[in-house]
Amino acid sequence: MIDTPKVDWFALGPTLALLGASGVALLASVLVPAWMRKGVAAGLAFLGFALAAILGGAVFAETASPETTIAGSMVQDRLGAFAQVVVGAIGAIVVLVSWAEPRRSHRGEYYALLAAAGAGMVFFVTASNLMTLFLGLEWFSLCLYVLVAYDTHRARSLEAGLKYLIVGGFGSAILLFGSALVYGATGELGFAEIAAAGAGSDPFLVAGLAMVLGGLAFKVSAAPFHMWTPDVYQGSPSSVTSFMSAATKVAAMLVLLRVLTTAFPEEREIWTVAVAVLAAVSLVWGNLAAFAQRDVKRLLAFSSVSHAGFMLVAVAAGTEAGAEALLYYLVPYAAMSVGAFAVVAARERELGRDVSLEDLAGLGWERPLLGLSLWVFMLGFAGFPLTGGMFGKLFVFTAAYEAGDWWLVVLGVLATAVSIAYYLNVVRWLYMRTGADLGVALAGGSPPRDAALEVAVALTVLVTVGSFFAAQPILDAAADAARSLPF
Amino acid sequence: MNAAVTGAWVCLLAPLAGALAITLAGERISRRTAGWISTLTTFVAFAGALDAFIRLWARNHGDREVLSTAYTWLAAGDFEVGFQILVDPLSTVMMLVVSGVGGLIVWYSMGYMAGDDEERRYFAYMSLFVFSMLLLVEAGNFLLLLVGWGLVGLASYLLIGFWHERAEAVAAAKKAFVVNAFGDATFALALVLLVWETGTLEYPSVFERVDGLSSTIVTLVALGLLGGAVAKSAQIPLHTWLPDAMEGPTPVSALIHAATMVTAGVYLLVRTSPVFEAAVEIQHLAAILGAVTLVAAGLIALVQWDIKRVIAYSTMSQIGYMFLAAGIGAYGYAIFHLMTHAFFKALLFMSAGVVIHHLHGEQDIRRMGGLRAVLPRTHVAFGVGTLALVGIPPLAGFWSKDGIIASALATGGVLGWSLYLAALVGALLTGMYALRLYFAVWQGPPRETEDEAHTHASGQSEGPLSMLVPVGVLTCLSTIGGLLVVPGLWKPFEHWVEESAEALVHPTVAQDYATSVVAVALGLVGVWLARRAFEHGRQLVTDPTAWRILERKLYVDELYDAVFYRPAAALAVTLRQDVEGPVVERSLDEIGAGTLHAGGELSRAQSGLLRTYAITVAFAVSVLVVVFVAVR
Repeated sequence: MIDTPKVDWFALGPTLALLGASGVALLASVLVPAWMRKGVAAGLAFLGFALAAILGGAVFAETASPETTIAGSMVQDRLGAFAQVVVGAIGAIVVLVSWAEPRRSHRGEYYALLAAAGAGMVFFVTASNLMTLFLGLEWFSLCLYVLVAYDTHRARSLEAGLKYLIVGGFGSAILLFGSALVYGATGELGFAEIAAAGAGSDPFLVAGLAMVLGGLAFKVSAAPFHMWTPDVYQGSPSSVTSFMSAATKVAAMLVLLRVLTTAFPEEREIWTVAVAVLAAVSLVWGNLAAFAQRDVKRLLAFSSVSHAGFMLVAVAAGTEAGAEALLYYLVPYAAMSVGAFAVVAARERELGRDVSLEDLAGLGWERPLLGLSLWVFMLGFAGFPLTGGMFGKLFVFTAAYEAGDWWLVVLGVLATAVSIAYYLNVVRWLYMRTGADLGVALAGGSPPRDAALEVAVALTVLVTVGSFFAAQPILDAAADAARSLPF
Repeated sequence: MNAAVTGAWVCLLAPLAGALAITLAGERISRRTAGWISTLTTFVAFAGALDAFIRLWARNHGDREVLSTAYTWLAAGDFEVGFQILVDPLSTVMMLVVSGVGGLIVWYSMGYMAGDDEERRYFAYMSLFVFSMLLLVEAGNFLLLLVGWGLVGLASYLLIGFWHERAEAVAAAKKAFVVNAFGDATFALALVLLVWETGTLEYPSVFERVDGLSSTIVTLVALGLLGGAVAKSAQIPLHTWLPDAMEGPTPVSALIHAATMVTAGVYLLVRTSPVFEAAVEIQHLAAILGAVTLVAAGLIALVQWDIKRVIAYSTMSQIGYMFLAAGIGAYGYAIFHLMTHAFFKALLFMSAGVVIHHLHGEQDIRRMGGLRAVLPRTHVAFGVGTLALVGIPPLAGFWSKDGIIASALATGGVLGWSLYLAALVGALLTGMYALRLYFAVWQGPPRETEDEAHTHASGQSEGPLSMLVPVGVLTCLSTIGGLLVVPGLWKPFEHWVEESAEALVHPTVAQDYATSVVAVALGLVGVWLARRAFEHGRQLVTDPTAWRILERKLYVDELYDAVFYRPAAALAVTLRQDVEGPVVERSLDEIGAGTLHAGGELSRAQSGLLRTYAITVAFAVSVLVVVFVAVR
């Protein structure tokens, strides 16, 4: 009889919920009659994500202090649970965004893949050794490779999938090689054990750290590891983009924070500087490149690179306040990101092609809800008050200031000032003349109202604005979650 | 809720409700309805402000500061931020000015903008603008102040660029926004410092703790606030956006110049006076910048040909007076001049609007003249506005401007005397440029074309009632609005404002009247010079070199262009052409073409691109590894 480790089913709950939803949705997309496949699969995926969020909330409530389970391969703590709640909520909203996506075949499988990707992410954020880290990363990445290329009739989608697969494989390889070096230097896989091994400044350990950092920076699309981001965000179906831009970023950012603080506390002086440099590069590159964009999805992609920069500023602080700021930042950011891509998706479905800034003309008058929402998201991205984006930036800057990174604060404020220009450019286009005046032709007339998408957008607006007015509870939760890291 | 603040909340929220209603209703309401919603909500705001003002007046002296918190949403230890407004003498005055003059301007726009394709959008923006400004002046803590500050910038951006089919309008809007964003950034940095050093953002607690801060920190905070104020109020050296902002519709110019936006900087200086008093050099810097601006803008105004630009430079110059006053601690006079200026400047812009409306968009004063006979009522209004601007007693501008000049005299010392002289030179220049404009537009032989004369014959030459009534109201206000402060007799206005910000200088009655004599005399000399030049058919500036320098606005635009814009633009172009272009777009095109062929083609086209990406990643990782190993 082989000794099996004790399995903590409660901690695995969110993952299992999504995995179950994915499996059943996959079965349903074969077994149930064709006309109801989409409905059943989407409903299952929605339930899976909602259940994952609820179970994540339960784990958050029940877990006072972190404990490792399943032979030290995963950790049950509030940090992971926080991420699970956020990812679950993102996924549920993305299901709503995806609902009216025009798709001729494989409608059920789409939701199965989405749930499977979500399962990978909620597993990934609880990883506590290098093996489960890599497993989780590949788990959700493989699902995303397929999802990115899901619109097989669009060359750009196929191309994006191929690109993401190859460059992503490259990134994973770097991460894996880095993990191998770390294991070679310490003989340990668990994060806490790596820290305890006290390998000091072993060249293999720091080289491994550099590569792990590079691999994860790739997933959070921090410059200069972001090159795939605009192409993939533009090429993917917009609902997939909204999922990636929010959920992948949340999961990868938290894991980056967890790995750096738990496995490499000794090397803090090195990685805080490295992360600060990555943050600075992302801020500069993301904001400047966003200026040059005409395509709205590309613009948002570069904006997401610059936001990775802001988040890394918080990571670079290397303090509990930094972790808290990052966790808070992720909530409004995720909402704004999902919402903004959802609005673009709506316009895309209306026009039947990629949306450039010019194509947004008149949206604000034709669809007041979507226009107003996109306005809110843009202001939120720019850190305007009355949206959570403002507090996010404030907390991040405060954490950086306390940690002594005043130059990052100055750069961040400058980057914010610059970013306002291109975010407002989007708003300006929204309230231009009506699309009809400019000759923006609708593909086959105005499609019927997409109630699911409008609900999704309304929810994200609610979170964006709500995280400003209800900053306190979110901040409290973030503080609780940040306490599970060893600072 | 405290009775005094109910009105203030109504005042704040009514324009917001108007903006939301117009936006959400979209095309379901008629353009006219949108105009009425906007106008009425602004007047509701005025009623609310009036209510707050009267209730506050009824209170005891010294008990006129009410902080009302609707909601506290962040409390981290000592640090609390809430949605709170401050109702005190200063904020009620500002509320009355913003909603009152703002309401008149919105009403006027109903006539001015009638027939524009996008009236609904226009009125939604106007309401948003008024709301933002009210939020700015009513904010009870620095955070809300920043909210209002940012929203004002946003609304001005939207309104200046309202006629977006005109490239100049879009460029002007961008310029205004970028310059203001710079100010916002320094303002935000000052706030971060304040939060960090004092742990609070509420006005009273911040002002209490300001004395305990190190002088470096206070200086930095004051400098940051001043940066924001200078950008928003278009003072030198961040003034370049204001003249260009004339590209917006004329009522927008009136709103930006009279009731909102540019006065925000003055309000900020007065509101945060304890911070500035703790950093006296910075406060004096504000006064000096104001003095420089008031002279430079007065000079530039002498050579402008565009009717709106002359008035724009006169705004800069008058705001310079207010900065000067705030910088030497004459807070009451700063706000008083802000109010009278709001009256006569709105009046000038609106009458200019009537002229432009009548001449079908013509703004060049070389093609105007002799309009007195055609637009008699507007002529009276414009004349009153001009004389009030020059400061001829007993019109509004006289009382407020002379108070400021007398305060400079009362300050004394090198600084006081220099400011005094600058202010007097400004008074002379004001008389010159204001009357040059007046003569060019109204006197002399008519220069109307047949076509325009024809329109005139059909009646309706001075515009609809919705334009004439606000102009009439403002004419009255510009005439009598200054009588709230008569030196030696009574100064209710000054005392009222000083309950919020105790003045540092109090000119004596003798100083007041001595100054008045000199200033009015200089103003009249300016008038006489302008009249003589007009009669001889020549300009006030005859030296061609001086003319060119002034026409190029002292070359500040060119300087910024060379130092900031060109390098940044070059970088953006490089990024787009050399990085975006070859790496991304061309390969995308190749791929697009490639899909038409076999899959093999596609993979070949792909490989070039992917290699670039992979090499970048590999290179970055190598750098990380090498650096990590090197510094370990």
